[in-house]
Amino acid sequence: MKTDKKTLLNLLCNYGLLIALLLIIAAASVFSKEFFTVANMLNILRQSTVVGIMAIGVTVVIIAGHIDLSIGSTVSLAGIIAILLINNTGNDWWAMTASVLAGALVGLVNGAIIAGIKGRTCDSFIITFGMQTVVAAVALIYSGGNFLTGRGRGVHSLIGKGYVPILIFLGLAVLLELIMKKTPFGRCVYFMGANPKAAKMSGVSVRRNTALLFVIAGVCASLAAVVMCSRVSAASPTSGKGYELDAIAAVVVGGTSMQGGKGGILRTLLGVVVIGVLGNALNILNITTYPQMFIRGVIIIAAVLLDVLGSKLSSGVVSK
Amino acid sequence: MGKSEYALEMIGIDKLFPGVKALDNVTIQVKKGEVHALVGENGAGKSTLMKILNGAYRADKGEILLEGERVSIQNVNDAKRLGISLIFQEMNLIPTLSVTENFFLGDLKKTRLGKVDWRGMEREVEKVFEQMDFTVNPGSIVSDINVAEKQMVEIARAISKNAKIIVMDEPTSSLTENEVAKLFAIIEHLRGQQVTILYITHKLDEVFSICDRVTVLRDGQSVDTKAIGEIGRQDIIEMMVGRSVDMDYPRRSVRPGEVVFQAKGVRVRNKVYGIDIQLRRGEVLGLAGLVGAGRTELCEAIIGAAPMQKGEMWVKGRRVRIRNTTQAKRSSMGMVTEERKETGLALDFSVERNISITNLKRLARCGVYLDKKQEAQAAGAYVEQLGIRTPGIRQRVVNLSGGNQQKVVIAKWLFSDVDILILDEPTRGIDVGAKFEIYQLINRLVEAGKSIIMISSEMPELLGMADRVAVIHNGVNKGELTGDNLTAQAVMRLAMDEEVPD
Amino acid sequence: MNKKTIERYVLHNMVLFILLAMVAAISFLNANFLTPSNLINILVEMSTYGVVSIAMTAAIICGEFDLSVGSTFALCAVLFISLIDHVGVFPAMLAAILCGGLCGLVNGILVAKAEMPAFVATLGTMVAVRGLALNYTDGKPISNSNQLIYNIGNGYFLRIPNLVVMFFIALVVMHYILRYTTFGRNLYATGGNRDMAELAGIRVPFYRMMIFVILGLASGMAAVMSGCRMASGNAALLGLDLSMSSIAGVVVGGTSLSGGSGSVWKSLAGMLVIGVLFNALTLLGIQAYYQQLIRGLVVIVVVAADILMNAGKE
Repeated sequence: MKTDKKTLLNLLCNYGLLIALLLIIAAASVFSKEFFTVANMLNILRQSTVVGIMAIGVTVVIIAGHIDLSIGSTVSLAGIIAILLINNTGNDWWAMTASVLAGALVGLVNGAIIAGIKGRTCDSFIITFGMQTVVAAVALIYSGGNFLTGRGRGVHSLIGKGYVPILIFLGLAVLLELIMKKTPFGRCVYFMGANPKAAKMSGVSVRRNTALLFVIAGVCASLAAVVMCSRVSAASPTSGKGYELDAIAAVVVGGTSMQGGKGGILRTLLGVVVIGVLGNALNILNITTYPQMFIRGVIIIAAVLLDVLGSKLSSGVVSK
Repeated sequence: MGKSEYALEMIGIDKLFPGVKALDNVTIQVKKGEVHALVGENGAGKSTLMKILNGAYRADKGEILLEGERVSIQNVNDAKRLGISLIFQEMNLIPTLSVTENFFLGDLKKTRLGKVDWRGMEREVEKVFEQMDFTVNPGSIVSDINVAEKQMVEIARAISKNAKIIVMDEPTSSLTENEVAKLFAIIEHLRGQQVTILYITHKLDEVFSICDRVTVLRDGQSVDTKAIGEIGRQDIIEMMVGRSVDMDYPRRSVRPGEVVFQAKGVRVRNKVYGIDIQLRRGEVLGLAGLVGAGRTELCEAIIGAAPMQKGEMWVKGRRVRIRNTTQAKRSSMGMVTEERKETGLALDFSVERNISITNLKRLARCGVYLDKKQEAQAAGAYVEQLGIRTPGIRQRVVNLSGGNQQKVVIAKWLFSDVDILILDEPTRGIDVGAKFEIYQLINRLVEAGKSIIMISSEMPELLGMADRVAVIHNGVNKGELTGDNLTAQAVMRLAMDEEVPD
Repeated sequence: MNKKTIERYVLHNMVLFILLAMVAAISFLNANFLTPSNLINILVEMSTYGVVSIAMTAAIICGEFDLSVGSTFALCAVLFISLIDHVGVFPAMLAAILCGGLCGLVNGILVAKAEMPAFVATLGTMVAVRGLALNYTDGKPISNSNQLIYNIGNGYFLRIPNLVVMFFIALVVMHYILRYTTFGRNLYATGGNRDMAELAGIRVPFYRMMIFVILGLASGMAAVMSGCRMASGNAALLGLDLSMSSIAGVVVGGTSLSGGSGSVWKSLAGMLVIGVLFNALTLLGIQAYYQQLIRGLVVIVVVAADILMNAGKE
């Protein structure tokens, strides 16, 4: 009997959030017939691409046991740079590349600092917290605090149209999933998250890999920015503000543990979809923006709570 | 119940840990007001016994009597209440707080108005320090004072809490001669106050100068208790290491070849003060020494896991600069760490993944794509070769027994194909059967041309497996023993920095 | 006095030296700096987030930190302003502060009882509470033209602005708590070495929980102070920078993030350095964005230095 109770609790921890969300989705479908249609689902997916791409990038960082709070500001900066360059040089490809490079640079700075001070999770938190302010300031400086409008023509504006964002999103997800699961780098990242000391003693280049993680997060953030800005062909210096929370929420809801060593890109994909669907469902149920914000905060807490509880159960600490 | 002449008696103590019996029917009786030495090799059981006394562990069998009365010590607070105080090195102080505050931790004194009475507390601390002729300012922050002073603070704290039994674990290991003299004066003073002292040490000098009686532990058993006047130093050493060999170590037929590794003048801050070592192909070099002698720190520096202040290294004749573990691996060196669960394995990962982590490049086709089939094959091969008992290569390592976990760690280094392997206490916490298998493994490794440095605190293991033993004492290489010179007594003497008898 | 104590003393006062040097340099560069009105301006600006900084000092000493103070601040501020006309000024103040305490309690339970990592727990409450605040005001700014609160927020007491007086009262109270009460000392012990504190009989989970309550109450108090001064607020904009600013003051002041040491006076010095720095930047005509950049950089540099120094100790 005791083992049954334990398994049930375990199940609840691992899938409880999913179940709760499925219930909400079910409620929404009852409410509105248009909810569970292909068109609506695709629409949701399209709207989730920006956060989704960010979430994929930050997943890699979280698996290694770190966190990156600066990706929201990186999105703002990358967007500004893209639009500025499009306007000034008329060369869309160069603008987009420069934008991605900017994201990579931000990531490199993050990674270099954190690797250099041999930081643990709480250290990466406050360092990227500081970078968040710095990068946001740079975005404000570059844009002069202004909302910038692009030309509205050219390659860049095509990226945001139709199903292209979804393709980019899914393509990136597949690419990163392959990297994480099938390459030495990915394996090292998982190992570093599971036991950083053992990784070091086994000869893994912890410092180099750590720097690379944040570069990936930065690149993904800037790709998200490219997509975001192309839809409206404009950028604002605060466009990414707050998005990092949504991205991290998606990762957490998807089931990747904050402690590192577990989870993956596919799980994040699930988390993104679930949060997107949830947001849409809440809209249909006539729940407005602000209560949704509240719910989002509660979900983050609930997801991590269940994760913490789940790991305590499996390590036998709680013997309920 | 009349008063016994013994302040403390621990009778028939047994303590079992998974796979090993740390204490086997240990009995020790300490007279009131005496200074009683507790001597034994690393792993003989001294710490375990004291932790039971201190309440940190609970005995599986046996009883503890204080002044003839049976007591139950379930936790650290019980021990404190009974007047038992255990002094480790620097473990029990909060470094960011002042000496005074550490003194009164959890029990701060207040003025009549309810305010924390700093001055009053400082005065009390000063009083105790005066008695001890100890000149540290009570207001100093603990992290600012050195190890010796920290030890003094702990002793002072025990005294001020009216401890009846004080256990001192290696109290003079970081003290200068002056400070040792002061400590001894305090001990004399305590003796006069009828405080009982248990003195754990490796320094026979001190045993003979300040202790009244000595108990020797060996392999978790109490060998004998003698009064100081009745025995000599050689007798004690003999009691510590003399044992019948009850394990036949596997034989091997390798003659060590050319020098594959050399280190000169290695210095590691506060731990290693200029060590030279040499390792030959096909050789097992044992590193002996007391706990804290610096062997692990030396090896960690060699392997790039810790900073080396000074020192030069050559691998296979070529000068190398090793700043991190990746470079060490590239120079064909790896290390099996002392704590396999903390630093050797990712416990949640499978056997397979723990093995492959050291050489993922080998599995990467076109340098990028991990060949999972090859990985499984390799892992399977090692499981078979090393006799790793596991339901499968996908099994999470946390579910394996200690011995098998250790085999996984060794397998991972085999997979990386390093030629020089450092083993830090390779058979700690492993049962006899698995130990033997690991010894066989070590033999196979050297027979295949690999070279091994083995840090071990188990004398039989060193004698049985090493071709040569370098003995480290306080960060310095005291000498090397081989062939007929390689005896337990000789190793112990060098490890404890004792003179050779004429 | 051994060498290390002297080193420590110099380092401690280094921030003060930097402060004095800055003051000297700036007054040389700009005549407006050393005027009473400007100096008072600096202090008033500092007072509101300073109250939270003081509480954050206690939190960092205990080994914790809190991202949600800004959202709590926003919620308490809008609550305060909206309730004035319904229940009166002082009940409204009380309600706002208690609301802060409640938010803090939620954080405390999540971190101390449920053992969630502090940054994720407070990240979640940061979002949730901001949502509550926005929902409460429907995203619209609110204001109140009550004369009493205006007098409180902008009035003077013995030639010193009321807000600055409140700040200093909070400062002195926290100093007393940290230095002269068992509660305060236990915070130090918990932050210094949690296990050892527990062994000494200190109820560590209780303290960890209380520290978040204190942060919540402080956010509430700061909200009341700000509400009195501004008499208006927009839930979307209030306190957005608060967690960064409050942590920055503590960190620049020299309190170590690893816990177990520090004091409110150090944080005061840190806050003054930052306050003076920004005032100077404004006087020298440097844009707001560059100020933000510098603030972020300062935090990163100081934190990185702190981590490196502590890594050496281990």
